Amino acid sequence: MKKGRSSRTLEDLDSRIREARDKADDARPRQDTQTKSMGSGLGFALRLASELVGGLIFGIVVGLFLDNWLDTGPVFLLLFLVLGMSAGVWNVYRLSNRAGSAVGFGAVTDAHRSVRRQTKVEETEPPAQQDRPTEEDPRGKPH
Amino acid sequence: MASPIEQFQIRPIVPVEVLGVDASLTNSGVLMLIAVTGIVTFLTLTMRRRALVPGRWQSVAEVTYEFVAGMVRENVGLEGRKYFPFIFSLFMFVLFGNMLGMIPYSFTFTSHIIVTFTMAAVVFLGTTVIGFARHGIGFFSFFLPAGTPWFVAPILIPIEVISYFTRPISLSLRLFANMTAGHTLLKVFAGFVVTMGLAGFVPLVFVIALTGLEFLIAFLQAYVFAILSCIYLSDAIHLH
Repeated sequence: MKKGRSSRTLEDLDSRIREARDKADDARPRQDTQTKSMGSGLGFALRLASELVGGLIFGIVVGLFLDNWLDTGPVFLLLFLVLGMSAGVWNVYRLSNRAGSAVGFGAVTDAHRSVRRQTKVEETEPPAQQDRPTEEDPRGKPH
Repeated sequence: MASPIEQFQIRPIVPVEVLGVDASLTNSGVLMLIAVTGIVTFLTLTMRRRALVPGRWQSVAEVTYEFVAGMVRENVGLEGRKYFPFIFSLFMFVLFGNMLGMIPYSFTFTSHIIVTFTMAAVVFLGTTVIGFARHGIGFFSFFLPAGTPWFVAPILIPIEVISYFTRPISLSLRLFANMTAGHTLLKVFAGFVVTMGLAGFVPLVFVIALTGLEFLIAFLQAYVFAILSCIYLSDAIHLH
């Protein structure tokens, strides 16, 4: 036994370390996505809510300000209320499409494609993976 | 019994007046100072020895660093490196603010919308300036992305512009609302413990559970605040 240990070279140790590290790397991402999706599932929900309310508040504030300034009854308040709500809903729609805070249609269709690809994969996998965090979605779009 | 929102009251501790403006050091200000000193002491003390094989405390500091560094790398990419100090400071400040607020009888400065809005406004103005500095006039293409049908453009542009301006509002609102709601809820349930007498153990259990949840939220909100700053920064740098 002693002889065997002494004959073990540094290279052997090196390869064993590499092996162990590969194993650890294999294990890490799975664990990471699980804990992350747990935590940011709640974060995601709160984000959606605040996005909705944020649009509304912005519309009200800008509308009231313009109406006060230009003395034009409730015209701007109504206009910006609708615009602010649309912006809020639009943001929520985009977020739930896993497009992050991306703007516009190109981004959305890209996200659609990736969602479709994901759902195809998920059909064979347990549905626990379904709520993948969008925040860590590194927007695989060409920049 | 104390009102559940009394905990958010700002009280001057050292009255200061500069040119007729009330600039007193308040309990909020004191907690901010504690947070900043806490962060600086924590990071300098833990990294004092800088061993190759980190000890317990050094690991904590390194994990925090790598957590934020990974966040910046994943969301902004390599160009995000030079903004890492800002994101890291922001994350640590919010995290310490939220966590210090969990200490009984202390004060949560992130539960005031003016504090969170100031931070969000800095992020918003900063990313907008970075966007214009990097892309000039081309930054406006942000509001009309390629592939938009022409007949949608007149509706889409105002909505995109407004949704861009709602960013600081939703960013600040989220942190503020979460901290305020959580702390109010804790106080309300704690009040029930006293008034319900023997049956008070039911709300007591709730308070214990809520305290755990609040710790999760305190961390989560700091994380969300930092990651959204990263995403906005990435938008400014890459224009998608």
